[in-house]
Amino acid sequence: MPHALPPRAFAMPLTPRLQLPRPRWPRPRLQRLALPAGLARLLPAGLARRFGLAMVGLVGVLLVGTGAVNMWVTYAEATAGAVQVQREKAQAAAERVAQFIEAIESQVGWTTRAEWARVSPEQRRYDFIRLQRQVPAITDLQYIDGNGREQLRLSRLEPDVVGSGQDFSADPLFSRAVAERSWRGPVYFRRGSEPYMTLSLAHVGRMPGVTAASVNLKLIWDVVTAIRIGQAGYAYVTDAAGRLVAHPDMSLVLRETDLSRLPQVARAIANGDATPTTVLGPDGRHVLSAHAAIPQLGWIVFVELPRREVLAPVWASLVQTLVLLGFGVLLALLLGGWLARRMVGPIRLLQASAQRLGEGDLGQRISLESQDEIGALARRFNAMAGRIQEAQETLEAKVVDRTQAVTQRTAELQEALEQQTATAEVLRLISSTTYDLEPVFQKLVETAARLCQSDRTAVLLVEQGRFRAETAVGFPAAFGVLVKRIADDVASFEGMAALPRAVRERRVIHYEDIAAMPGYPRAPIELGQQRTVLALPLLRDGVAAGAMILSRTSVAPFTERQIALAGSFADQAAIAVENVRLLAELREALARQTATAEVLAAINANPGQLEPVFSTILDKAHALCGAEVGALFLVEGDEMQAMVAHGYPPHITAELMTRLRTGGRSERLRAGERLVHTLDLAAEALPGTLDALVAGCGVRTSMVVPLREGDRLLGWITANRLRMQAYSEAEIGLLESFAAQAVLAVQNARLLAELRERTAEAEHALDDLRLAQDRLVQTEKLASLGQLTAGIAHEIKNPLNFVNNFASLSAELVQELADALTAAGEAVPPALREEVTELADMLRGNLEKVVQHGQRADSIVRNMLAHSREGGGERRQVALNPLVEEAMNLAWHGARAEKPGLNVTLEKAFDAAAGDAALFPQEFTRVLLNLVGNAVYATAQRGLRGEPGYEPTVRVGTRALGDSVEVTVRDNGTGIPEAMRKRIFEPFFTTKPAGEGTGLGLSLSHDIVVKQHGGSFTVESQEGAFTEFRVLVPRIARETMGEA
Amino acid sequence: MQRRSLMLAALAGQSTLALPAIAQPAARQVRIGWLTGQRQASIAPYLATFREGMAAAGYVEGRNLTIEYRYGDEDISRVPALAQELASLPVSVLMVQGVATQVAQLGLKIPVAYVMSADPVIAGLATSLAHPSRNMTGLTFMAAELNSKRLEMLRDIVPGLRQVAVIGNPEHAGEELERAASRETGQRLGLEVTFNATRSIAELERALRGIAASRSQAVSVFADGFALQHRQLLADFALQHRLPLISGWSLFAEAGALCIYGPRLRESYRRLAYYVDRMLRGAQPADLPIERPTVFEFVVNQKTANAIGATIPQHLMALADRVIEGEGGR
Repeated sequence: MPHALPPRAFAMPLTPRLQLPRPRWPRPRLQRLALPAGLARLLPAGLARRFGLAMVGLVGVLLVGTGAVNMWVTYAEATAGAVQVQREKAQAAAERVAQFIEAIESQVGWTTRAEWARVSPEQRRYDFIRLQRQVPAITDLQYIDGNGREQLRLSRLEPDVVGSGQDFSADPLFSRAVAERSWRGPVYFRRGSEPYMTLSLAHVGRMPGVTAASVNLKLIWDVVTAIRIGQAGYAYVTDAAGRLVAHPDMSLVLRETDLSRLPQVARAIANGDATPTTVLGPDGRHVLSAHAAIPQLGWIVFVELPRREVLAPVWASLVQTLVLLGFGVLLALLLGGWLARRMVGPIRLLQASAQRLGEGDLGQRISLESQDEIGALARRFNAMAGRIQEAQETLEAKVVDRTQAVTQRTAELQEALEQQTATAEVLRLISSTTYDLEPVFQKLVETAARLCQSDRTAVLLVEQGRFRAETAVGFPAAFGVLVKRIADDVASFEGMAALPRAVRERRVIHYEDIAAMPGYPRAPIELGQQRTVLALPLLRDGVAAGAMILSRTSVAPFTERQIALAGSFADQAAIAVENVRLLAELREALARQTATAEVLAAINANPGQLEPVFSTILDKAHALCGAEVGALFLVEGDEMQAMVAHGYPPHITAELMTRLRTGGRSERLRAGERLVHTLDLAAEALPGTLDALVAGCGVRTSMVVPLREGDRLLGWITANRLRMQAYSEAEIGLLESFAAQAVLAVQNARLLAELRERTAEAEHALDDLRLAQDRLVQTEKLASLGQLTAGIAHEIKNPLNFVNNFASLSAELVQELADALTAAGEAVPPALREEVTELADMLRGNLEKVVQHGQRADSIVRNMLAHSREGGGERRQVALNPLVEEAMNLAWHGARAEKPGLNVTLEKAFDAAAGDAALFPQEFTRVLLNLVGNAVYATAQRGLRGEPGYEPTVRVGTRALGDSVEVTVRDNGTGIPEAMRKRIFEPFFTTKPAGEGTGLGLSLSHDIVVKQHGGSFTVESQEGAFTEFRVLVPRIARETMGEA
Repeated sequence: MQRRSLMLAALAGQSTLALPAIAQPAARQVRIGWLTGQRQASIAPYLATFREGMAAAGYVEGRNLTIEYRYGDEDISRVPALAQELASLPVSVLMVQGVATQVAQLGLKIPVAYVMSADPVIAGLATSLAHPSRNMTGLTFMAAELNSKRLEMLRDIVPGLRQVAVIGNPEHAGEELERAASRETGQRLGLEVTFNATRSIAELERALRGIAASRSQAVSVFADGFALQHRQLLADFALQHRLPLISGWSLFAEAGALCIYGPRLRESYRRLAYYVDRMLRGAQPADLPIERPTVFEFVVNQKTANAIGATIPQHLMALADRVIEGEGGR
């Protein structure tokens, strides 16, 4: 079995773009691989297994490689993303918890005004009740006067206590609050269960009193449960000692759980390192834990997300990769196995049969029914084997016949012992000498001369219409001349000369005296001094392969017995000639088989590689057909290129290896001719053609054999001889069979290339899938942000109303105070009046700020609610241009109202054909207001830089685009930096300084355009030059998008 | 090629679907028991709230939840037999409304979730709020403490208040605590508190006649199932005699009582579903601390106030969570 190389480079001339990695596997290890029984059946040993394993290896390495990279990237992204998100969530959660406490503090704060010490106890109690009413978390309230005596205590559970006078001056809730304005007590657990904390605030003024409130921290539960961390994540709060203050599972809090032994809590208490880590959560599961401290309270907020949820995308990716890997390997296995089985089975059969034939089993036949090239090869093989067997059998039969005849004659001519012995000798020589005719002829001639009493005896063979003297006895030295003369004279085998006539008429010619025959050629008489001449043809299957001549220098006719004897010698000579010819044929056939087997071995050893296979094919074809030079060409369209060349000088080889236009003889192949056979190319080639170039190297006889796949011409093989000698049918047949093998090799290579293409496609599909997944994740993220926003907005709205209402009320009260002061007139000492007026002014100023910022907060909350609201108004056909113009005017007036000195040019670029579009008019107007507002702001910002000659301009345009309409808002303001452009549609992202924007405008607009209207929203910007927003909405509402 | 990528996509999709889903509450069939010493009518509004809470936790009666109801119909002596009956059905969790003390003495093996007016620690059902014992836990309405607060409110509403009539059902567990708290507060506020025990409608009617004849200036009704059942009678009586009447649960004010101050019972009954859910999932009652109400409400019936000429002081009005006005009264 030919030793196969390990799979090598797969680069092929046909598909140079595929450059794949070379798996270098040591061959012994491959052989040691023990395949399971099923797999072994699918992949028989040898070529098929290597083929299959190479494919599996290739696909496996590719998929495992991409899969591993994919996994790693997904893991890194998921972990990094989660760590970042957790950290932010922890921070946000800490802020919300802190706000919960700060909100209570600020509510308590309005009982700390300076004059509160002077109001009636009834009024104080009223204020405290209102406070309790507004803040459900406050259970008890205490007022302690400037001397540290309790003046009022209110409880939700117990009767109120007025003027108890209890001394609290040493209690930290008084002393610390007076010293530091406010004091936040430690967390304590009422009746060992409910977490409470005391807040106390010092009043304004000299000798300040203190308001202390006991806050039921159970109510933080609402805040903590409202914090959404992924799907199964949660947040909890501990105090500085690690005791649980708030947790979504209330029962843990009420049991006064101490978490300080949890590693993440211990770490947070110890050093405050806020990097999220994976640890065991309070419920024993692995979680990604992050925390943030609330410094003003000394609490720590933990945010934990189950690791399983963090890693969910990684697992999904792993499963996906494994499925793809399995699928790819299976596909490769099946395809590789199938291809190899298709190819190897017949080849093996051929190989085995050739081997048995070589071993002498001539009855060997191949039963291969397929109609492909291998089938054709098998049929040729069968035909050849048949011929050999037939020849062999005939030979054997003839030998037996002759032996019998001789034996019989020997018996008959008992007395002619010498003759018998001689004949036997000749026969012995014939049967012992198989290759060399010389000794046989020598013996024949000598014996014939002796037994038939011939003076001159010779054997001549006919070769290409001419005689060739083989052996001669008794002739004078001029025999060679004589033979030549005979040959020249009787070239046409005409005339009466004995030798040509015997050959021509295939019978014995006996002339008694050629000298007495008028017109007989003179040479035999004069040069050979012959008189009586006996010429016998060497007949074989009715054809004369040559002749034997016996002649006497005197006139003495040969006897019947002598003629018969000479005839038997002639027959023996013919047998010997035939014998040698058959042996030569046998050898040739074996050489062809060997060559075929070598080509198959080359295909076997180089799967998918064409060059070595072509090279072997060409070498063997040339060697077997006696061609010296030639090449194997492949065509592509009307271009051809030699893949391998043999025997040409280097410059011609280089020329042939380039791409050339087809023409000349190849066109005849294209036209469908079986082949092109040129006897003398030098004579036929047109100057300047490739043929002429080839002929220039001394090529004479040239053969072009096509490589055909069905009707398609793939290329051809040229076999050129440097001599003029036509190709025989056998050689042509041989060349065609090599051509068929070349076609087979091309098909093989193509199948392999297709397999690789499929693999690449699979990989591409995987990439697409991943992209889609990423987009989905982004969409989900935005959606959850929206829900979160709605939740927060609802939470904030109620307390905010209180803030706003009471701030307004308080402002009126301050005014009343001022009025009362005025009314009091001189009754109030000037110093006190001054102090009170100053305090009142300060209060009024503060309240104005509260009102202003409260309204801002209110607008943020309303925006947030609008942001999360689903749909709004009614969708109807609206004329676009008037709507846009109205929005422009509104935005302009709005901007003017905010900044009276505003300088900006508003340009309109309306398309009169804009027409109607299905819009939610209010929502769409809101989008335009936002965009124009932003544009005006951007120009104003740039205007502040004081660039000379800068003219702030905002251009609003509309455009009809068939099924949709477009609105553009372009300003020549500051532009948006590249880094920010990605984030501008995120909620709460703003580039404006704090207080000027909510960060919801563009996010809202994006939702309105994209989700509500099913349109698109894009931005183009260059920093310091311009920003252009482009809104595209469909004219007609699409059902699937419209109300979503 | 297209078909191939589709196939790959399908494979990938399947693999994604095959990932374990987040665990949902088990949809198996559960049976729980509901035991109360009261009549069905008294407790119906709160039972509905409890069912809402259960539905929010994923249990829907008739689908994956069966509730076995047992009513003592005001006869406490029947409670132990009913409890044993439920325990032997058996039920996974037993809910006890009001009569937890009686059930505790039976030493049942099944976990018990209760709501009760009294303090479970004082009633001996727990060593502390954080550590319930006897395989029982639940919620308290803190009725005892709040009676003091109610008396204080009556004092603020009625100028010169001297005498207050208290109506209570002695068979209601913890009633003696409420009575003690009322008496103690009365002494502190300088009020004369007369106590009227009403176990039946007959006793109630007799008590009302007595109050009408007395010099009582206001009435405080201990909130329990019996009183709730007869809230209309009580409210009409108070209106007829122009007596300010206060009680603990908002249904009284809706029936026409002048005002109420107490926990939002609906919140507590809804919260009860949380305990049942946790126990059904295998939590030990000892691990679920007893919860006290966090939110209290003060409801004023302005219509009644107008009718009897009572003025709710401004500071109390500031505390009002709800003011019932106009023709609404029931």
